[in-house]
Amino acid sequence: MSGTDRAAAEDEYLAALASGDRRAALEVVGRLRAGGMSVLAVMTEVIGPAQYRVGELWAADDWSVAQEHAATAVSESVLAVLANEIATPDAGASPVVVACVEQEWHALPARIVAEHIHEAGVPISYLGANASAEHLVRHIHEVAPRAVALSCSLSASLPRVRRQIEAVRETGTPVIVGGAAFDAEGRRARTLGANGFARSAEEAIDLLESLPTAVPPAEPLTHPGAQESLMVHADRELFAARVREQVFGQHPTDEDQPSSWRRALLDHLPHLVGSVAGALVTNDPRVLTDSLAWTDDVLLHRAAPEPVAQEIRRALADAVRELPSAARIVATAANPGG
Amino acid sequence: MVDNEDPAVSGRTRTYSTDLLVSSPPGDLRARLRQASDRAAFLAHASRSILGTMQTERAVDLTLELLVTGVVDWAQIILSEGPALRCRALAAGGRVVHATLPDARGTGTTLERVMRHGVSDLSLVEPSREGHDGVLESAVPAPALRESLAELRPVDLLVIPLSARGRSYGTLSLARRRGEGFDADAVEFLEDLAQQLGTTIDATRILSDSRRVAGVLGRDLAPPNLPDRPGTRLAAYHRVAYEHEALGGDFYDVHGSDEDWTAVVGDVCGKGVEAAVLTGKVRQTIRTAALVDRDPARVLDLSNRVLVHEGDGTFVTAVCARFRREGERLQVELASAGHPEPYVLRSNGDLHQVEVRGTVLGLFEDNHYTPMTITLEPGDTCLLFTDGVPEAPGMEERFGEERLHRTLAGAPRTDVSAIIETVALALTDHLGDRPHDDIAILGVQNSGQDQ
Repeated sequence: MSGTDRAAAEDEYLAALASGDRRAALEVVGRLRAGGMSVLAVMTEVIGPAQYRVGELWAADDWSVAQEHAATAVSESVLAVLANEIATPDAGASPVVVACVEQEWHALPARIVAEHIHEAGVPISYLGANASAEHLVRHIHEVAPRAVALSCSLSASLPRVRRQIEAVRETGTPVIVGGAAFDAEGRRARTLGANGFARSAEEAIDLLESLPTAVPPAEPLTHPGAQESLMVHADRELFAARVREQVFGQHPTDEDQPSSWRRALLDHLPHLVGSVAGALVTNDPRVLTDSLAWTDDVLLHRAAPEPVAQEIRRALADAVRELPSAARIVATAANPGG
Repeated sequence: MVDNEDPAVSGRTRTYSTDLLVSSPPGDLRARLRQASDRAAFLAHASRSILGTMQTERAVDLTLELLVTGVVDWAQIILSEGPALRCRALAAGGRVVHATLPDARGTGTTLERVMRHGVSDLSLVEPSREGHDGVLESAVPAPALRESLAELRPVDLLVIPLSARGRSYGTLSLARRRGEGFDADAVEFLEDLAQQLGTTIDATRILSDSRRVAGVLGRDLAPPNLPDRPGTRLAAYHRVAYEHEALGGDFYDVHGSDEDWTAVVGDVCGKGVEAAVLTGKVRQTIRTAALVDRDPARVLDLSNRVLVHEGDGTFVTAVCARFRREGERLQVELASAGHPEPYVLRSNGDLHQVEVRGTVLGLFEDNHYTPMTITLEPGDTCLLFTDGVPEAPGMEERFGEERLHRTLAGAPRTDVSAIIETVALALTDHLGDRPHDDIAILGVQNSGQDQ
């Protein structure tokens, strides 16, 4: 298959996602497979990038949330069909549990990593999206996995990653992490107490080889801000409400239907506040810097008045002013240059 | 990347300022005090680490890791389990080696003696020899495990019994290179350690047993898998109020043939494992009733009479739906016993609730249920749910009927799992970390395509 054919196939796949057409998506994938593309390559080179593009299209306000969900459902069922082509490893061996951190619904990257590990001959126990610490630990007791691989793509979920690393290591099970919420150097992963960090499925597979069979509990977090991350995370709705009132207070409206930027901000504020907790728990202000930049981008595409970006930063600073580490992180992240 | 330099990442254990086994000179009080405090810290750390695993194999591996990182050059734990000896060993810097052997009873080996007498044994293992190697084989019966010790020889080998509940159930064997050895003080410390570890590892054995029993008993109480039927796709969301019990009072169930089948969503009063036991009974009652007559009103009627006759004051709300295919259409008959009204999501964007009502199950003998019929065209979805959805608490208010309606109105219609996920996501966002009731949602979509 030539490069142009492949690019055309990728466009067709995205078009199938756009219309939520499972059959069309399967048809494109079937053609790529017939052209000699491996199952794993279809996953990482076609489905993965297409889903990434879906996220961008939503951020740019080109796609609705419903379209995004429909597209993800199509890709998930295509992955399930592809997964059937992978031979099942020995049932006797101890599996690797692959899960998304609690309240994380972006399961696709985790699923793709799971299929890679599976293909490398290691049995997988795939828990999918939104795996709570309780569920994870109960599952560990049931299947005695050799390791847990935890995926996290939202920076607001980083405090939950920490909680889950603690819970998993409490059971003596090694835990590796990966996903868009981590930095490429693995510093955040290290701070959170993970036993390893993988940037790709291949790295995850290598990593699994070198892990000890049992690990002691995670050391407690002692850096400044670790305590405050718990407070901000627990009260994120309250902080979000304060920011909302302050920002919307500057832009009164008497319309019944909230405008697009208001709706997006309303949905997103708890995550933005969650990113403050994420920056605190990883001791990395860039977590919040990136989250703010992303918020700016989403609002820009939804015709928010220009001062809103600065107002959010001010309101965020006001909301956390009584927490010294949080206040410092917000100040640093809001003015990355100065 | 695994960062071996950083104990927090590599998972390797902390190190101690003193050698835990080499006795400090009696005169050097400061050194003795430091060693005593290091030993206490190691014991506390080991106990806490091992107890958390709640799983025997991992508890054993972690014990080996802790011992070869902080204390000795090689360690082996052998547990006697029924007719088998489970052996696991680890050399410093290596990986865990394991083997299963037949029980050692009556063999007269060091292992058997230590277990039977409950008394430790200290021996010297000479440098590697050809042929028979009595001392070593007597303490390390598995060849693969002996292999892991080979490079370290000659070693001093200490075998200590692991005891709990009044009997020895295994041994802990420790090796140090010749010259480092175990003096009386070190042996005393290690016997103390083995006593603590013995109790802790045994606790994981008790847990494994009761977990297995609970697993077998609970298997039928967890939500079932949902097989798609020809031209039909199913998806569900289930979340329990008492997550630590993993079971709850909301349930869904699907049974029948590909041509004529039943879906049920219900809610037994109460939460947790007690409620789950009742859901098992109710699900079975409904299944049996459906075998007699799949008409959903008759199913509820019959189930109601059974539950009233049982007479334990339990009441149940449920919605029962019968699905039959007619060409590309899916005919649905619905009956409800005091349950929230199901939704129908049409592929053309229309959204409404089916106003089907009836009295709860289990309270009054002569309830009668009136079924309603709807038709699902290709792409249409029927959504059954429990009141845990609208009742879900938020920061200021409950999730509510209105928000549910709005969420469904904004959900994609193309795929039932996307619809369920949209609701689940909105619910999870709304709930935050607040305690909530059991929640169950079941979606049935006429996909109109046979995949």
